[in-house]
Amino acid sequence: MDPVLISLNAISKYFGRKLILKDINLEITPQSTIALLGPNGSGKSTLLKIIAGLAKISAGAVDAAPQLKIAYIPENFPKIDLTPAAFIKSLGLIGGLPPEQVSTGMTRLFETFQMDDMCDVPIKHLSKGTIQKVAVIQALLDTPDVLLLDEPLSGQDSQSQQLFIQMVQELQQQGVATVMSCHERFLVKQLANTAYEISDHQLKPVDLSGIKAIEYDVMIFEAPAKPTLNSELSSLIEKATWDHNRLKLIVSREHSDEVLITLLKDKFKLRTMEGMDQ
Amino acid sequence: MKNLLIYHFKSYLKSYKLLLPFLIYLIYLFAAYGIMPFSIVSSFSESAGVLFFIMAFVGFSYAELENPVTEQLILLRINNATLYYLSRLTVLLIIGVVMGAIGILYPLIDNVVNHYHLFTRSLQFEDVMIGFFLHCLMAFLGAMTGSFFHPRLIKNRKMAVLLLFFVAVMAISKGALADHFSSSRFVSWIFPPVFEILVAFTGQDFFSIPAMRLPVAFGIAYGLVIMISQMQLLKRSKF
Repeated sequence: MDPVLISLNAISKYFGRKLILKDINLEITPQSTIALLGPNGSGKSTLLKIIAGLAKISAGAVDAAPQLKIAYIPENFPKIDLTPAAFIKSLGLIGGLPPEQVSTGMTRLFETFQMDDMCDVPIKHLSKGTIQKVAVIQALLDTPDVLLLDEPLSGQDSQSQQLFIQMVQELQQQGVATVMSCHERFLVKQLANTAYEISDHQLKPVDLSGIKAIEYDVMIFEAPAKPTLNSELSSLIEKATWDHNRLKLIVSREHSDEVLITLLKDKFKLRTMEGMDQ
Repeated sequence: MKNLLIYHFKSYLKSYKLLLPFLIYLIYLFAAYGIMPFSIVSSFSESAGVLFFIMAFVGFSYAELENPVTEQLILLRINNATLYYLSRLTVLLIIGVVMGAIGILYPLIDNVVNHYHLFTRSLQFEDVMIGFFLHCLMAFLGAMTGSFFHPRLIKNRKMAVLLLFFVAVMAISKGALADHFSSSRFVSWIFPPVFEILVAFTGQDFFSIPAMRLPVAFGIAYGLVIMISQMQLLKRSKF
């Protein structure tokens, strides 16, 4: 039986009088690859912070193995004045890594994520996707025991997404437990064996077999002068990312025709469309 | 600790938030020592009092600058919240000592430039040492007071600014208030003991260690209490 790294026992969490989480029980072992699903505001990020020991709980108990190394990829990395190189180096040294390991690890990760020419630019001047890469790199600098990911793909290009998925899969093979919150079901398929939905403040198991059957298409459109995204499409689109006048969509294959027809009617122009590599 | 200090210094200096209070203090020194001669004790006391306000502003802006996300990432790396918050406050203390040194070095240099006529009497080694200590103590009190109004402890920032202003003004004017409303003494001990320390030198020609012993001890104790309290409150409040 795998040792328990972190155990949440009957956790409840209130923000003021507002109940966020109620009677949450969860055990994280070295083999855990857990996805937390749910709409915005359901408490996914709060639960991740509770697992990390960063958030105060209103009731229950969190038991963690001693000297546990937890890495955390936040959803919104701040626009700080330091450069990626200065920040990652500082974080590595603060974490007690030898300077040589920090230096080689940084160089490797900056190269892998194609950030070599941006590592000396203040983070506040980088694009959202590049800033998110910094958030990922800081977590991957060292091999943690538990990796917590809060909407890890937000703003990243598809190449970085694939790279990221591959790196997390490698860590999982090394026995790193991962817990991630995400909206993208295609990510759940690739990075999690167990999934829960936070519904009515509680963790409800999700049958992954349904998710695993879904295939996705990636479509990139050029938007018209005054683009409006039909509100009826929101339930069909897995993920929508704007980059100036370009709209990138990830849509389950069963809905892609419908989404395509609607957007073409709304004067969007299709530029590329391809099946998503799984 | 060393790497934490380097990180905090880098983050703070890159933000240029120290520039404004530093320049204001330099301008004050330039203006205050512009007309001579001066009483050593009163000019050093006044400069230390101004440094209290400057460092209260520095402490507040430093606490404002702290980003909760980077704070969380570092806390996970070091697994020791006390060390983290201590390192942040140590940076403030170092800045306070540097500002205190400037507050003493400026008149010393000015005195030499003015052929030793800046002060009403000749400067002694004890004046420099006690003056420097007084500046450091005021910087410590100011920095701890300002940083106490941390965004995670007082979420309403307008209220935090007003409260800090009120506390800083009360710290220096509580003696005058007590002269008019003697009952205010029952609550005025809550405010930093800036008045109590500075009043120990009023009308003195030389720094008197016996007269300053008690207020200085109270000042150090007060600073340590608010320093430890804010660390404990920040550890407990989490995110």
